[in-house]
Amino acid sequence: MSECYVELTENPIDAGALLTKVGDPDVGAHAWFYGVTRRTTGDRVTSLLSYEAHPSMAVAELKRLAAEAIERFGLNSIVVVHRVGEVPVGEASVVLGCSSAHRKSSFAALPWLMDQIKTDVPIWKRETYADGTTQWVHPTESVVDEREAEDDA
Amino acid sequence: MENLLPEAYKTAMQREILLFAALRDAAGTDSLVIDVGSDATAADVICEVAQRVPSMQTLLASCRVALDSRYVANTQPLGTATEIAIIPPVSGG
Repeated sequence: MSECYVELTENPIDAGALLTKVGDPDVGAHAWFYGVTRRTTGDRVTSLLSYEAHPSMAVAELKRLAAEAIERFGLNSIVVVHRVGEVPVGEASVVLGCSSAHRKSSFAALPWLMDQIKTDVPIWKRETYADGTTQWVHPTESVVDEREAEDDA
Repeated sequence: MENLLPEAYKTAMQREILLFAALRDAAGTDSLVIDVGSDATAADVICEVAQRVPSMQTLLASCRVALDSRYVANTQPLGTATEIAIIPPVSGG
C-alpha cells in the first residue's frame, strides 16, 4: 500500500516532521531533496524570493505527479511540500521525500519529480533583488536551458 | 440586421479568466471578464487577453490555458468549464 502526502504551506517546512510520512518497515531507502532559495543568480544578488500558486490546481498537479512517480519508480511512499509566500534566502522552498525497497528507485524518482514540478505545477517565483527591483520568473525554453546549465555548473 | 451578424456574436457570452504572476501584475487585476463566442477555444481566450493586456503579448505566447484546473490544448472549446485560468510558464522549486 503506497502513501502519498502533498501540501502547499505558507510556513517554514519542518522537514523533521515529514520523516514519519515515509516510514515503513518494508523499505530499505529514504531519499530527500531540499530546494533552497539561493542568494546569487549569475551576478545578481537576491534578497528575497516570493512564491505564488494557483492553489487548487497546484495541489491537483502535485498529487497527479506523485501518483505517477509511485507507479513509474515503484515507490512505497512519497512526500511533496512546496512553500508559498515569502521565503528568505537559505530556507527550503520545496522538500521532496520518497521511500522504496531499494535505493535505486528513490534515487531515480527525485530528479524526475523535480523536473516535472518545474514544468507543470502552477507555482511562480518572484525575485526581489538587493537593489530593490523585482522580477517574476517565467522561463521560456531558451531561458530554461540557460538556468539548467547554470544549475548543473 | 440581426441576421447579418456573425454566428459567434449572436451567442457571445462573458467568461471570467483568472490571471497569475506577471500577467496579473500587468493587468492590474487577478481576473478579467471577456466576451467570447459560445464555441470559443482556449486559443481564443489567449487572443482576447492579449488585446486587453498588449504589454503581455510575448508572455501570452508561452502561456497555457487550464479549464477546471486541468491543462488543455489550444484547440479545446471552453464548453461548460466553471474555471478558466491562464497559466504563465511556471517557476516553482
